Amino acid sequence: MNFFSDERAAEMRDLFFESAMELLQSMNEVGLELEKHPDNKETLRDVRRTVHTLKGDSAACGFQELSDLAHQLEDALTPEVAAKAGPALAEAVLIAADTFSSMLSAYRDKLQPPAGKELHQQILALTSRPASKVIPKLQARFAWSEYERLVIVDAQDRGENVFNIAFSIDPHCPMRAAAMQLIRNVLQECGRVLAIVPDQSTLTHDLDVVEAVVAGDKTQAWIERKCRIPSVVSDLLIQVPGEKVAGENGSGAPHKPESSDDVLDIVEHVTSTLDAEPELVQAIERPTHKLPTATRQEPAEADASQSLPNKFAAMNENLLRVDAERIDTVMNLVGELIIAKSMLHQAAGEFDKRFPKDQLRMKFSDAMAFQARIMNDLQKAVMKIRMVPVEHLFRRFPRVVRDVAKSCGKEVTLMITGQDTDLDKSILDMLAEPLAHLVRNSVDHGIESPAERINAGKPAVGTVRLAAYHQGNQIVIEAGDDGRGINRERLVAKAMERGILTAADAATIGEHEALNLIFHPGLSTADEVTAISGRGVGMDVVQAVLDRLKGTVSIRTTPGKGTTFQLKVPLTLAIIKALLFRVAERMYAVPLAAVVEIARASQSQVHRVDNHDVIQMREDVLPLIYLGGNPQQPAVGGKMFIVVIALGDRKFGLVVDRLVGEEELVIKALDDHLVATDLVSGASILGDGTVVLILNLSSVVSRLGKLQMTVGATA
Amino acid sequence: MDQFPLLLRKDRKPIRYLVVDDSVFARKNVAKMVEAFGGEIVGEAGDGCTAITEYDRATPDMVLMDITMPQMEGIEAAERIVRAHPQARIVMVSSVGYQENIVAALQKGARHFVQKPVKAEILYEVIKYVMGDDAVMSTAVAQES
Repeated sequence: MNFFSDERAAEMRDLFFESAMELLQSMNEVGLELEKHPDNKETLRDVRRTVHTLKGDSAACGFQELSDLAHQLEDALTPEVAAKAGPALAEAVLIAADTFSSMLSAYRDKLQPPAGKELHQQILALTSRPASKVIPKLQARFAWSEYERLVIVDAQDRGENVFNIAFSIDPHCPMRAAAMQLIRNVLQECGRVLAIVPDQSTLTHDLDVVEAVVAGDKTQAWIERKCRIPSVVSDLLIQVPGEKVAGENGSGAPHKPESSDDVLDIVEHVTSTLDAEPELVQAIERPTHKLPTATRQEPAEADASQSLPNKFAAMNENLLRVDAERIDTVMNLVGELIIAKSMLHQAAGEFDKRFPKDQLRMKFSDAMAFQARIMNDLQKAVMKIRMVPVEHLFRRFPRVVRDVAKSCGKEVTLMITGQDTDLDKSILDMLAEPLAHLVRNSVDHGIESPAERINAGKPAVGTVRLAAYHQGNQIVIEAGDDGRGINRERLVAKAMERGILTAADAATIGEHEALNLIFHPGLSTADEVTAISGRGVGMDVVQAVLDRLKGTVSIRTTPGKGTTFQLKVPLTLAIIKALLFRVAERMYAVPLAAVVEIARASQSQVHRVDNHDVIQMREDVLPLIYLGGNPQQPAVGGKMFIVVIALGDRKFGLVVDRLVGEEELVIKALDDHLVATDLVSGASILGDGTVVLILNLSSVVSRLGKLQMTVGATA
Repeated sequence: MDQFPLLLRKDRKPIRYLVVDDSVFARKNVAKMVEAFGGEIVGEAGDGCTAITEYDRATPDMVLMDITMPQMEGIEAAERIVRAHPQARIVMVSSVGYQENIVAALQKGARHFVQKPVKAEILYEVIKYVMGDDAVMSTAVAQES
């Protein structure tokens, strides 16, 4: 009998390996922690919890050897053993992590797992305690104190049913305290508990027999049924006090009531079926052998385990579940506070000017510096609430890669790095779709078939990389492959065919512009391009999402070597540092993260190349973008300000009239009905009430860059 | 695996279960077992909070609840459920290591506990015990797949 279908079992295994790797990683970490503080009970509990989860999961997945070992280890992870063993316990945990890891990879390759003898002995050494206990026959004494006897007689006189009850605790039940508690609960149901031994104060550590006397209206049969608690009570004795108690007690002969026979039978039945368990386990595991082995992800998971964040260390008891809306409210309020702060700054500035000699000035500026610092911390703290590790997004990709690779008959490994990079939850959610698209494309079109790869002198197994890292105020997420790369010429040719590009443009088109054609909606849906270049379907969606996130996407490709898509997104959507400047007497802002440097240049430094105004700055030749719209605009004092911005890995020079300064802007989203241009991504209010528009750089560049290009081309 | 006589409600309908565990495996494992006993899974939850809302939604006959879970531990969930529904039958499912937690859960109104890894035979007996008079054993044997 199979509990799970083939499909289901395979799915479960994937899930299991994924989570098991995390568990091992956290085992390693907590093991090291335990080595440092062997008597820290909290750490010990962490280890135990991790081992316990691993045990449960591996048992459920049918990996009996692993589960057994984990079980042994878990039993050893008690404060008592820790006190006795000291650092040896941590050693055992670390050895266990290694052993489990090799067992896991054996399971994954469907090999016989190593027996883990070393670990087994290590654990035995830790828990060298006589394990075998003879099952004692239930011998009840019912030796109540004089007062208790008085209470019993009193209850009987009032016509209540009074019973002496003795429980023998199942020797297979290792949780004596829990058993004791359950018995107490049950007795409570049976009536008034007149006496109970052992009582609350006694340690229940190696408790075998519980005796009690209850009074109430329940019949003996009812009580007997209620007290025969499965898996806790192995033997039961019920008597009416005062009848045979004395004889029992006096004879000292082991008395075994008839009723206990079938109880013992149950116990025997249970223990015998415990041994039969492996059958079931095999039944679960068997279908997984039919799994096609087209894809091999071991390296990916092994790599991932190296750098996986310790999820379990972070998962302490003190978690709070809060509606995202509440956090957004706080976030908005912080945003308003920041506007208020700049209002205050403005006012203080005016005050300074008006009363330059006033003593109050210093007090003001001190208080405001203090306030600014706190505000900064507050803002960071609020942001942090929304942050989640990129891992949440990345962890689904081993599966995506595997599925796509399987469906198109390729061998692909997935390498993941930087998954502990934190990112705003809402950004992360929005990135899920585009990233999945890029990864699918990489496997489907980027990676060649194994034969093709071998012919090209590459390893047959392709690699897809996912990486995340910080870069200034941004997060960079890269999805790359070592496949065939994008064929630029074909792309350009296709674009001309579709009328997206004119022949003149095609001749002058730069490397980046050519590659960016991929994101053109008209091209993206063309199957031929997909087949030739290996890219396309829905790439415009990727672009659109990144635009919405005020992020950028750029492509790096080397024919024959592979392609990497680089997605840059802001750390958060709500507040940005921005550079303010004026163009044509209007205030604009660009995200400071995009600004590389600010330069002054005179008209004579501007050259005209290929119908573009460009300026040379050290190594780079930057295309100039005149936000004012007029390339011949005379600059103030013969010189003009150039804000050098980076967009993806390209740089541009924005020619602006006047620089205003940098400021933290709280972005107010602009409704689509309000502003019908994609050139502006949002607006903000300054301290003095001025409204500033935040430019959407990628649109500005593509629009104005193109405009100049076509103007130049027709001129 | 052994066959079990179907364990049904007094009204001969399947016993309705809510399975709570943060591990999907554990959940599926237990779910398969109780289904083999003739029960019906009416809800699943991966943490204590969800368990409470699921209980309110599905009002199951029996809750199988893991002790250690993120968000809200099984004990607290059990306590809250029992406070709102004194008739709730909650069986704690956990391992040897969490004895003090099981004791706490039992004090808070849980009816029984089962050790992990869960053995079908023991679970069966425990369920039968906890259901008490509200369950009947059907002569029809659970269908083998």
